[in-house]
Amino acid sequence: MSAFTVDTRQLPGLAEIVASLPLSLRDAGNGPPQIIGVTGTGTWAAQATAAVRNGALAIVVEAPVLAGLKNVSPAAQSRVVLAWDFAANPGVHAAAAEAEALRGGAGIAKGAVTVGRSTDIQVALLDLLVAAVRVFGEISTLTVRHRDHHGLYLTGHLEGGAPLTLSVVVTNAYPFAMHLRLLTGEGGLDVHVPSPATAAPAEVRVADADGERLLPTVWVTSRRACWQDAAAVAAGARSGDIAELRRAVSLVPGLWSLQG
Amino acid sequence: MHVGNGGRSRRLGVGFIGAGSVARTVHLPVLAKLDDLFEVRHVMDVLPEAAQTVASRVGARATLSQDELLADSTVDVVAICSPDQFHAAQVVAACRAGKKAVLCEKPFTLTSAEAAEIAAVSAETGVPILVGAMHTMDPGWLAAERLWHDLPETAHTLRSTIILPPNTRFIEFATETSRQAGMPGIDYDDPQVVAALLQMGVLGLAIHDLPLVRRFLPDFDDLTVLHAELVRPFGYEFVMRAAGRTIELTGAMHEGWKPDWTFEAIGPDAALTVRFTPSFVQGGSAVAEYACGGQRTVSGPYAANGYEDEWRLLAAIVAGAADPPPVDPRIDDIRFAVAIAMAGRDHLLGVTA
Repeated sequence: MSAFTVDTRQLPGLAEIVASLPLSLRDAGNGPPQIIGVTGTGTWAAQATAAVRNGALAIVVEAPVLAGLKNVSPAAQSRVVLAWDFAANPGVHAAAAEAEALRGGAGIAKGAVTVGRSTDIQVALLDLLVAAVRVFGEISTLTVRHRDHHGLYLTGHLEGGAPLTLSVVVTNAYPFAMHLRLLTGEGGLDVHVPSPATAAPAEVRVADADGERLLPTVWVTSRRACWQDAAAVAAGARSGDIAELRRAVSLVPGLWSLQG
Repeated sequence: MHVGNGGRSRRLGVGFIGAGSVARTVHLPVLAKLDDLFEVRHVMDVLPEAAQTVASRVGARATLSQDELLADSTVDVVAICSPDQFHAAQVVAACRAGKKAVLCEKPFTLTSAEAAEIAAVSAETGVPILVGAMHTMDPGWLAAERLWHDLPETAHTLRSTIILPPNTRFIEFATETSRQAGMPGIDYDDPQVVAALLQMGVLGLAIHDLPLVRRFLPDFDDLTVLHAELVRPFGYEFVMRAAGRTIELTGAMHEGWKPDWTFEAIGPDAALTVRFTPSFVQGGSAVAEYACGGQRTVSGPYAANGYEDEWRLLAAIVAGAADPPPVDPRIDDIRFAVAIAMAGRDHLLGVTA
């Protein structure tokens, strides 16, 4: 696979990412980039659609807001990689694979993300929803139980009926993190995803009657992992991120009204 | 806290009302450690074998009669470890018997009316009453109090997580005892049964941490249960609001081995996390972690635990070296627990009706 070109000036810190993936990515210089990076502000969908129309092979959208999701063109859908701070962590994918065998015996599931005061709560919620769908599988409709500037709480159920509580809590007390838990009769799954600002690995622990396993740790930031995914998309793979986000958003009726 | 022993002959005589697992696994090992302060002298249980078994271990008298134990002049302190529904009447009887102090396992009442009666009797007789809330006496929790600055005023989110294997697992870590019967068959399709289990969860499990939650609530007059649900096979999940705080209570008992007993208080700029040992384990104290502005301060674990320091405080109170704790906060703890249990029940029946 030849390295795909990226305009490293498009996003802060992108040059560093590209430099760390020399076999997958290279600086486009003054030429047209093959992979586009956009921030997830309100115009991201229009930018992604336009980029594909102009020949981009993949688009990485960082921390996307909900607005615009409906406007992603069919042609762009499979080329967009959503760079979630937490859900895109390789540990979440590893946890999802482990969780498949555990979901049927779940007694309760929890997902909690703590973010700082400068974080958009809605973006944090979307990130958590996507992670929850990846790890917990089928989820019922979720109900927003409380929301204010300190965070929000939602409840629902897993496919097997186990209660699910999701929360976003705002604090500057400690570094951002996400925690997912799936408790089963004999143990379960614990996922701790650290701040996206660090390459410190997610820790995924699986407990059963024989003890507890810590899955192999992967020292890669969510962001770098997403740009690797984008290179794969540029090479011909199809991204399911937009479809997954739409599914996650559909779980929370009225989520659109929670904007802002 | 240290109380001089004054010689073994000056030890306080302890009488147990109720000789079940709490007395055996929690209190007897602690009192064995504190044998310079206490001596078990009388054990009462409605089951003759239970009374005799426990009494014989410590060289105490056994009886089936509560009145006989309360009339025993060698009993200075009464420890009430009976089923919950008998606590209030037994506390009142022990106070009226003129004992020097009463230690009552939680919950010391099941209703606000009983709580008020206990407060009145304690005031009238002057007998100090200590409620066995080991987490409020845990050295790790007390260290947290020294760490948390203004967090009780600023915290906006409170979480109590109690995930436990069966109690028998930890009882067996603490002492040798005959196995208890497992959980009976439960009809989860009956809303009344489910609602009753939810109440049991609050009054039997969540109640351990509700006094801790209350430390971060100026009041709970506007308590609102936003969500309440039973966790199978036994547990609960609550999302509530009170005094501008969001409160999340999670309880789950399962058949595995891994416990998690954690209390969290989170504010805009600071947060507290306290990790407790499972019940029954005499394994030292909780560990408190206070985080603020990216800095973390950890306190504990300490060698002593909350059970031990309850008894030390009791000795200090009787010796006049410490003031008895006020009863009113404990009454508010009960009111808080009952309010949650009732609101949870109503929420559940409203949802399932």
